Amino acid sequence: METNVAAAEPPPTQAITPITATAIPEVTSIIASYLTKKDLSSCTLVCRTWCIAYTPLIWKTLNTRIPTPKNASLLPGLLAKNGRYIRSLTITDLPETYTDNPNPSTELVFDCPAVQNIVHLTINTEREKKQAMKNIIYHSRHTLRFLRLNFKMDKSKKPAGWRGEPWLGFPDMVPYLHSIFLDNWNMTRQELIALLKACPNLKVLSFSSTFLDQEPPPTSTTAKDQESLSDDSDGSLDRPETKDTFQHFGIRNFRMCSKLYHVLDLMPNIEILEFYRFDRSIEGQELERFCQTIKEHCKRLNQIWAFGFECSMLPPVLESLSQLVAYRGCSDIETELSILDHANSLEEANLSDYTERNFLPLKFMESCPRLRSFITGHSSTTMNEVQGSLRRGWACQNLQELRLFIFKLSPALIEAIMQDLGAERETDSRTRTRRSAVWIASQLEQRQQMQAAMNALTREQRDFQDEFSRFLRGFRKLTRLNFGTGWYSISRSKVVSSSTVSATADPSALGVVKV
Amino acid sequence: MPVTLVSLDNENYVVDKEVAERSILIKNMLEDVGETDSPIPLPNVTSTVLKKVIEYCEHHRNDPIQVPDETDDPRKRSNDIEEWDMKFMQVDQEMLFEIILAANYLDIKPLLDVGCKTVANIIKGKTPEEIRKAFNIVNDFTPEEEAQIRKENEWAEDR
Repeated sequence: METNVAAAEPPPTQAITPITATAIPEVTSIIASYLTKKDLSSCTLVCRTWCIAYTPLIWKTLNTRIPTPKNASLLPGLLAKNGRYIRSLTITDLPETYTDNPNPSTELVFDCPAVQNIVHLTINTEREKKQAMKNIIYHSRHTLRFLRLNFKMDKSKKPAGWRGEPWLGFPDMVPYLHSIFLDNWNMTRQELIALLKACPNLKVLSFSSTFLDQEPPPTSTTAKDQESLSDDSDGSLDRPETKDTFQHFGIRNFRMCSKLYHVLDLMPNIEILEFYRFDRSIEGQELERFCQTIKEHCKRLNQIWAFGFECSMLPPVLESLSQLVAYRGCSDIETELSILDHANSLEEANLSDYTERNFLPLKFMESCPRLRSFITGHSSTTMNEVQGSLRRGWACQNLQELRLFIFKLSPALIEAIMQDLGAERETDSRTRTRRSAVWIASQLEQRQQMQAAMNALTREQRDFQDEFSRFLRGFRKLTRLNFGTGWYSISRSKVVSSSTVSATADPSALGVVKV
Repeated sequence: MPVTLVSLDNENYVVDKEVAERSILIKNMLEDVGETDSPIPLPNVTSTVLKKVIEYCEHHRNDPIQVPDETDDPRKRSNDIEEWDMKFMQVDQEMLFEIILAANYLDIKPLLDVGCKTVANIIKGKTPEEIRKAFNIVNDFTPEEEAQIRKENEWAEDR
């Protein structure tokens, strides 16, 4: 190594110009990530070298409405030249955008062979464009990783009893496709199976307002699904042992909006089930069938995310899981109890969504030994209840993140506890840079007011502070805390946090954190 | 354990291993070679730039290693440069670009980011002519070419 250096003649130092530095693609693309389209456009006009460097970056992400006939005539030429740079394309081609344009283009000009490197594709469009949609997918089949197809139907044109647009033909193989979101389609079970077969690396599947022709899933004995594994030869899937049914072993995450889809038997390895906008209760028999499928097929399912929910169907779903590791979303008391049935496996619970209040927040810490993150919405938990809980003890020795609302816990008391723990308020990056004199002055004033309020804490509040701080200090992994006044973090690398502690009400409870 | 870095112009700099390993290039090199006290040549970096880079690495020696976050907002904010970094980046343009090139070569992602943010902040909101002035670049387009590019760019703009 050394000899090499000695021998190497130092190359003549080149004058580094902005041109040479920004001509390195890595550098240009990082700079570009901080710029708007308009800035990028200015960059291409600076000089020839910059034009070559920045033009691909302008075309990299395209978010576009339907082209008018005028630009539709220009765009094909430009796409032939720059289409290969498009990595992310969102086409919004909705009938309502026609209103001020009597002669819309009927072509999706992005159906062009040069547009062949799309990674992230979203199309919102309607019937006449189906073939073009299909072609766009086909051209980029080797690069696509994310696909969202929203079929749009003008309300006035929607025939009564419309059940989604018949599914479009899909390429035989889209090898790297990772996520599919489908909206307003109608597909048969066979078509779904064909789609899954074409996407061996699919991890996320989402259905919204999609109609699946309810050909019932084959029950354990009947082998309905004749189009099985006979001829597909992609090697990336494990071969299932069963003879006649197709199953996709890659999908981890299944997401459904407003109604249940009975396709879980096709994806035995799912880990996360997501429910969105379920605002009506699901009919009992259907729910039972759904839960039965989970029990029978989805042994690895261990996370439930449920947002915007009518909660009555959650307990049966939760009960059908063999274990629950993470729960996110809304809940009522029945749901909370069902979650607590999984106390031994639960690692994360975020109950803050749409929930009026949480009922048993302390039970989670008391009874879930593996709990790492617990986040509640509002709760009417009192300081007395908390003290009772502290005396019973918490099982979650590995707790890292906690948000807990405690009734009548004043900001000053929270601040005092945080100081005891050496926890510092998390600032977002914006406030960190905006350190004007005015800002500093107002901070100072706020701090003085807070200090005064902290000095005025009652005896009872101080006792609570001492007990709670001492208790929380026992949780060695705790790094983030929020008692309703925003997030605080405890830095574990620091031994003592020096500056803020000096003003603590109780000097014996300084923020010394044993590591 | 200290590590010796050798600049293009043969200056030696002795720094803590922890500091040197802010550079992923050096970190990987040290991992490949194992314990060594032979100096590490950095034939792409001059001593003035290397001094600057070491100053940055010293200051950020305890920062957590950045993990690439795929969920990151793609339109990142360029105005969230920390105070120290902002001061650090107050250098003439030649040095700014030298630092960027060195950070790219040495694979020091946070430094590369800060450098690129600084450049982006110079570009932001400026017309092409103002950008040329800011970086002392000569316009080598004909007016017709410029008009043509302007027209083409319109189609790539979000609408």
